[in-house]
Amino acid sequence: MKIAICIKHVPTAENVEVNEETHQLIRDTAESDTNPCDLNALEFALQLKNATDGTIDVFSMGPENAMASLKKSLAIGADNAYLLADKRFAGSDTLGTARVLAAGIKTHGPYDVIFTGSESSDGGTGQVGPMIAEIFGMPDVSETVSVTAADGGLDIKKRVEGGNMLLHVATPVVLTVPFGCNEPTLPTLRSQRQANKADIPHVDDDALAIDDKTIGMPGALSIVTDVHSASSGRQAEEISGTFGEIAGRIGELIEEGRA
Amino acid sequence: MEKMKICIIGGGIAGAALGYNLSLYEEAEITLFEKDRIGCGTTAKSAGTVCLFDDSLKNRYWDVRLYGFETYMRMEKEKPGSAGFDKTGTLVCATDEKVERTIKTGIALAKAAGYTGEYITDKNRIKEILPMLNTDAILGAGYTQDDGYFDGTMISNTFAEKMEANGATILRGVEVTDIIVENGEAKAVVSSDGETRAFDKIIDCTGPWSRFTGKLVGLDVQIWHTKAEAFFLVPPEKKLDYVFPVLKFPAFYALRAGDNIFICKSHLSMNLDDPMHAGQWDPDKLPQVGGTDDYFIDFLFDQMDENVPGLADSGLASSWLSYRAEPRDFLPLLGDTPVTNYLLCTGFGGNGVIEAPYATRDLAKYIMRGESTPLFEEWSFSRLLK
Repeated sequence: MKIAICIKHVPTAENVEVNEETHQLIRDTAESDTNPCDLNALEFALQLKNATDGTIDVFSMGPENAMASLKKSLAIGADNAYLLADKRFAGSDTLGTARVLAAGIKTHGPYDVIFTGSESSDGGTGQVGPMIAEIFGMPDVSETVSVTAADGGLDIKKRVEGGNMLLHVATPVVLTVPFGCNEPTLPTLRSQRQANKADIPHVDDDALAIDDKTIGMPGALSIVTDVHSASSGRQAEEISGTFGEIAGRIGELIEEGRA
Repeated sequence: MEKMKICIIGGGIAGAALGYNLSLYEEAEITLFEKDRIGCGTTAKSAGTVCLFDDSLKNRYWDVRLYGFETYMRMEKEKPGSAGFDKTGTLVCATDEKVERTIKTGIALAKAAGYTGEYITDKNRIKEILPMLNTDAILGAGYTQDDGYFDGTMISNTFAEKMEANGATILRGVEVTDIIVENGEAKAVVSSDGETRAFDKIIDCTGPWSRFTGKLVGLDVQIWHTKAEAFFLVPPEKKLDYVFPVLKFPAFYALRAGDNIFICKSHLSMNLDDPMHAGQWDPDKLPQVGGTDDYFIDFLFDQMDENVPGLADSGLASSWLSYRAEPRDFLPLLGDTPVTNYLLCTGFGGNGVIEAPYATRDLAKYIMRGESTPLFEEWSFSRLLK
């Protein structure tokens, strides 16, 4: 089975900076790591690879520091990795991102299964996976929490409100995977060291031959116009001081019904 | 009674231990400035391996090591958990005859102080203590079951609690932004709360920040930063059915961290002339997690694969980077500087948790009573000027 997976390198720090003009996250200098649910998707890809003697190709659109996530994917068990990097990709909205990823996947395809995480921990739109399916004209199953190869297709458990839905789907198919539905395999020092030496190709816009007007800022149909901190009505309080003071404050909060 | 006004800059293990030791003197009026939280900087990233014998500190400084160990054991006895002690024992592997001699001397010192310790050459016995060890590559190993590792942050907070109980002041979240020097004498500090406070003595306990803090008084504090890159590993069997001891090799060490295993390079294996190992960096830019270089997996891997192959095939759960502060001779900086009333208590280079109790006890006595010890010559700032 030939498997593709899209992963995103996302900021992990709480103090992520936002470009004041474009309202976009400043990604290239932020503390960052692989988007958590992408690792859950990679775990399912690994299970299918092992069950079907398959291969996994990983695609990521992002700046140079996304190499870290691609190397991590190789260390976990992916076979090939591609960094889709070009200044013309910058500023892409979800549709532009889906177009770039789909073009990368098309270059090395066709694939039987394309995995993505359900959503990224930074943007959180959950749109890119289904958009890739739309571009390829494939069915997609969102909220995939279990997948096994069976009868020439896939048996899938899809999370729905109040339970799970069992499906048997034909391939090719796009599957999006939510966070926490499995326990991702960890890289080892041995595999990470090997992956660190991998020569991961950069793929630019020219190689993908995408119409520049459909990606990046020029192709963006949705633009972030402002960013605000979320206010949930609840307030976090940092408690500091001596052990006694901290214990005392926690006691007060419990009495006030705030903890 | 006129009190001596003392400023401590930095609330890591050195600053907190010094604050506590000074607070035992009635005539000391102490103010400690910590720009963040107590024990949250380099101290929080210390492994806390205050072992009875290993190669992190020369046997010449055995009394420093023993005093640190017993200080923390007393702390634990007084209030269980206050030093974060995990009694795992320590296994120190002899990779050559020189290391073997150091281990044997350390064992003799530990036994003389009343602790257990033995040098084991029976490879089967060594594997009983640590099954994942490849004993083919070592001559033998020193073992004691009496020690383990401590938690530097918990110790710092316990010292902080004690010094406050003794009347000292800790200004948490307040950063020293300038130091006023008049006629070669440090007089006062300016801090981020907008205050200027006069002091009789100012002691820099800022560890990796000391090069920057020293500049506030025009002092070139000759420390290098070496990278302490730590990796948290999940063993293949997920849960070990034995107690993983503190494991020491000349180039790296390991200890258990819950069900995981923590590994890190030893600081003495660092080459201060290798820009990958050492430099002068900004500790404020260190991320909380990650930040390690691929280079250091290469640095550790072959030795780990040869000696503890189970670690090389353990899952890499997370990693972090810290900076140790190292003078060229890997010894701390303690005592006077060319700036009158500006003292150093820094540069412990990864040994702060071991050395702080002894060093700060003597420094407190020096500040309050003027009593010097040989340590102040060997660890003096002036040695770096020669």
